[in-house]
Amino acid sequence: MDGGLIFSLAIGQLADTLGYGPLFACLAVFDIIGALVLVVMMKRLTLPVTA
Amino acid sequence: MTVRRIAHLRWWIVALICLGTIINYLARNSLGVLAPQLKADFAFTTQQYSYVVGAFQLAYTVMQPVCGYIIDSVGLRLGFALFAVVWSVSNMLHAFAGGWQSLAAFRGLLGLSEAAAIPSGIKAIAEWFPARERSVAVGWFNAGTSLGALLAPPVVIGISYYYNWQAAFVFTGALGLVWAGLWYAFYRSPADHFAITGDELTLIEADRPPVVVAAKVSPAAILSTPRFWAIAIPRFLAEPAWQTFSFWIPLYLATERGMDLKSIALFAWLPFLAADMGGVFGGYLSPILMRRGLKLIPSRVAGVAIGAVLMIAPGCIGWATGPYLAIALFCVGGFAHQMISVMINTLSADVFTPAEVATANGFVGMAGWTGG
Repeated sequence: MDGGLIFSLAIGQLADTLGYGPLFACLAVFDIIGALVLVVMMKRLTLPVTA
Repeated sequence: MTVRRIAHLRWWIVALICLGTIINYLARNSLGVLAPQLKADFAFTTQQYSYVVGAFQLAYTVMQPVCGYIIDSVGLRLGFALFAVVWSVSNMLHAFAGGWQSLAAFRGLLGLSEAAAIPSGIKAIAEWFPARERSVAVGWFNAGTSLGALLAPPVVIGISYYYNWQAAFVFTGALGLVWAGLWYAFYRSPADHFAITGDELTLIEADRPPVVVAAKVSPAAILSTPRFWAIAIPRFLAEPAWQTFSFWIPLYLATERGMDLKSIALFAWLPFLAADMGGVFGGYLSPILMRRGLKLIPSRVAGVAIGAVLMIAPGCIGWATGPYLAIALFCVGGFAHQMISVMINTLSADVFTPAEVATANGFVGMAGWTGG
């Protein structure tokens, strides 16, 4: 999807000073944290059948 | 009068949703394609153009759960058709814009109505698909988003070249009106559909949650469940990657990799094709894992985890030695991101009932757009 707010603003501010490399690395780190959150919280993901 | 029954009707339903998604994304991407021309015609600054873009993004972010709630309340058939009419008219109104202010107003109107598309599509899939096939359906539905974006430049530039930019907005909007008619004519919930076979209805209903859920959808109740946050947090963290790919790849290739405009045009669409493939692949991966013994939820989580590991490849782009390796890594990134995205959207249809899923998915989408 196109759009979005926080990171789009951040990249606009940081791309010139930090360079793109660290920003792209951040994206991978975010996704890995997201996956870890999902794994840790997996037991909370109950199906409506058992609700 | 007897109505012809159609076997595997649910796959026709997902084709109809996918078509609606293509038209939705074609409409929203028309502006970006015409931006250079509009900027010259109206003599607005880049900052004023950013307000026009921002009007859409703000309206879209805020309205996703609201649209979802309206869809859950009035039902998909009428609700999705009405939102499609509003987004189509909003898009056609762009043709009458007289400056950046009126353009921003129409843009906001487009954002608040187009926000209905993803929650509606997910709800339709929740109504029509047994859990096992749901991710496959979401994968194909999701492919409509990039297809619409890929179609926008040739369609919009073609029309504005032969007629004018106003005609391009009218055309991409009018397609939505035709689609709204198709949707209203052919969409029903499985139990009410005139063309469903008995076999298919049995298959779908066998997979429904047996619990009767309160008819009133409560946004507060959705937000207070841990399962909502288990989905919304990864979505919030995943969306920045897509925003970055969507808006910064051409600029990055030009400034850091020294590519010229022609080579960028030749290659910059590849990550989006890879993204579509990633979404569809992720959709099929989940049932494959289930056949190997994984349960439903772990099969979705595994897809997200594999996607996250693949994201390490584009994370290393700073060390890529040449522009073509960089593009290849972007392709891996697009593939991985849409895999994650499809799994997360499918999860919202897994853990929320069909009656409340549009609202829940709207909130998940809102989290994503805030993060991105």
